[in-house]
Amino acid sequence: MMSEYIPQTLSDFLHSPFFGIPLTILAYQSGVFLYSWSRANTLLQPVVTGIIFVMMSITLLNIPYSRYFESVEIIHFLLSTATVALAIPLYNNLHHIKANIWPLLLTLAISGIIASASAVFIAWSFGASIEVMLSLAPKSITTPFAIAVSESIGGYSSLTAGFVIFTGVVVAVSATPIFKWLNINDPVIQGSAMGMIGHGIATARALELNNKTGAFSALSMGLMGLYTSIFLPYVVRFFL
Amino acid sequence: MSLRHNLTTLPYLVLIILFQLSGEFIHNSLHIPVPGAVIGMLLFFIYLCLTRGSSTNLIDSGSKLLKHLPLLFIPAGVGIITYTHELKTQGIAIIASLTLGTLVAFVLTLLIFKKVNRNDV
Repeated sequence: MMSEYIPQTLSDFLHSPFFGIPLTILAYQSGVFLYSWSRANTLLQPVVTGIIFVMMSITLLNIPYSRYFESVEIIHFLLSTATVALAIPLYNNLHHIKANIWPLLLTLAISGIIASASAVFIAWSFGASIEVMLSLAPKSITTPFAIAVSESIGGYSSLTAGFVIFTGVVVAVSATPIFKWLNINDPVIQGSAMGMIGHGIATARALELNNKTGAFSALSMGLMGLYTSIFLPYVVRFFL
Repeated sequence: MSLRHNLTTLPYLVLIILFQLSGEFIHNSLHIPVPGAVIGMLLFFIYLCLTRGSSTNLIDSGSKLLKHLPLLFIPAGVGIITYTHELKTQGIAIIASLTLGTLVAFVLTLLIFKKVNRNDV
């Protein structure tokens, strides 16, 4: 039975129902290689390189996105599993909450609304469509949450995935100049803001600045993801 | 990494998938708009708190999955190619929202934290 899935030629390989799995892993590995080769250049995120690599491959091979997606559905399923596993870093960083609980939760409560509202408001004032605004709303939360929220509120989850990465890069690149400009040196404040607005990509940058900044960024990214993915669907349900 | 070590990973992976599926089930059956994976994460988080982190093996298994998290974004991310029309017609709105909106939110978050932190002390 399984033998019919063993590819003999390139064309057989492309007709295999799972052709996208090795392609995706190869694309990701080249992204990881390029990232470490560039000594962790924020603009060369492995996921960005990986996405572009797959896009170019399927365009050149004339494979529709829907067929690629079907072949890698198991990877997309594991994204949900990994989202559940995000409880682990949140649990591990829980002790950081205790000393800073009130400023942290108060900032989170306001920041979550600002992050979504500013994105939607600016897009609205430039005349964006409802679907694009809904895809922008969860842009500050970590990709697995953002994709799930976008799907559930009626945005385009693929666009959201791209928007989230872009947002993270904006925060990672602008963080140090903004800290200097506002004269903010407390790693707790720096890290929390980076994680709340710039999720995982900014957290990677925060870890380069300082361990404590990184820990608070990781914690805040988890809290922000959880908070936004709970309130946003209700807000959208109320308005639409 | 030994085979024995990998075999101990599997039951924990199954446990995490069970939380994931319970989350999906609650999302669908109770019509809660919160995504199933997020509900699953909350349940798993409560489980970790109740069991005081459970076992180091469980933590290791989950962390292994998270190590390659960016790989798992690729299938959805590639889908951007099906939205070239939106990107062409609403590109300015999108870029403005992503850069300006993000910078505004970032600066405000820093200022708010600084303010509430000072009031707290």
